[in-house]
Amino acid sequence: MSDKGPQPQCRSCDHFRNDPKYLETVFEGLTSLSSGYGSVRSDDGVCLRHDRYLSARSSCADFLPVTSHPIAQKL
Amino acid sequence: MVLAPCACRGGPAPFPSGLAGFGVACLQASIVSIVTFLVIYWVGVKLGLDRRLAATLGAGGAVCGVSAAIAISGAVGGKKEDAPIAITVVIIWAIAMIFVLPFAALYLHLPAGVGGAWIGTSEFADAAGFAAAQTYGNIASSGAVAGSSDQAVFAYTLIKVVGRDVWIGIWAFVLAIIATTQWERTETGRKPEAAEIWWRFPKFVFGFLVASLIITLVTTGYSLAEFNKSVVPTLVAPIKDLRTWAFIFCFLSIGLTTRFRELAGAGRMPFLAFSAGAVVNVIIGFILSAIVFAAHWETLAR
Repeated sequence: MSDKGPQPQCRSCDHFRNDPKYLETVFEGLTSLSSGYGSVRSDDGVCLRHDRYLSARSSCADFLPVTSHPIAQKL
Repeated sequence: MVLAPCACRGGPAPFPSGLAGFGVACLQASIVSIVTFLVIYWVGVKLGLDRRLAATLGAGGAVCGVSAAIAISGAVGGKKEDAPIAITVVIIWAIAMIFVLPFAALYLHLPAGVGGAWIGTSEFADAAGFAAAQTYGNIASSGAVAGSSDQAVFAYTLIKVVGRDVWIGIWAFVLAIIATTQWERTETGRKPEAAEIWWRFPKFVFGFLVASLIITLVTTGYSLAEFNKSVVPTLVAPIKDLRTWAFIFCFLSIGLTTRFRELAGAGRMPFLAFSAGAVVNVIIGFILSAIVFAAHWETLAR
């Protein structure tokens, strides 16, 4: 990851997953005393490329636009 | 499901008594939040934990348990396994405290308000804390300790919901700054924004405040005698029944969704770091509730 000025954010990256339902399956125990839909989570999500949990406003050099997803290509 | 009971907690608490408690609750909660976080973080780093994991554990102990863990873990850009580790440790301690705190308070013969404040200071999850506070309130209703059931619940709510939970956004913002400027400057390429305090603010707190405001407006002009004679049986009592049912379903949901075998392995070091902070938290919570601010909590909501 590098900081070379404004870069596309994780929210638009194909490696990023922040769907609340998905996070509730990934984070064991989350639904016991909290929720993936809570406001405290903001728009945080999991980066599958770097195995990190971070803000959707983050960015890095490994950005891959969501439009490159195989399903999107078929549309 | 936890949101409904939290909003219901604001129902029977008029704003005047709530306002009087806000200042002390915020001060006590702030002291505990800062000290607990620093202890857990420092012990965690000394035990060799990654700084971001140590911060996630610290927030889990200082603020609101599971919610704080996922908020801070995301704010500092932790590893994917950090949040589940913190969640596991928080759940273990939160469940233990449901039983330990009320009976420790009973053993020490703490008045209901003092016990409720201690529970609010030293519990690690809202739902678990309310169970403990309600338990102690029931003990008070039986006459075993001084005070009323309402005092235990009000004190707990002021400390935990108003005092501690609101720190989530503040910790997230501060730690995001530290993470991006000190720990890994070129890691995530983002600049923390003060708006993060609002984005991550536990919005259910407004439910509590609005409910308290409504009760205050509705009961304005009633004398204490009139309030007890007409308002309590027709308004307060039904709301309390609603609160009881909301929490019954809340804890039923918690029980049905908690699978201990699926919890992530926490590891010895994270558990030790968190436990060090938890012990300090309990001691400081007792000192502040039962000694420093005892007079305030003993007379709460009278």
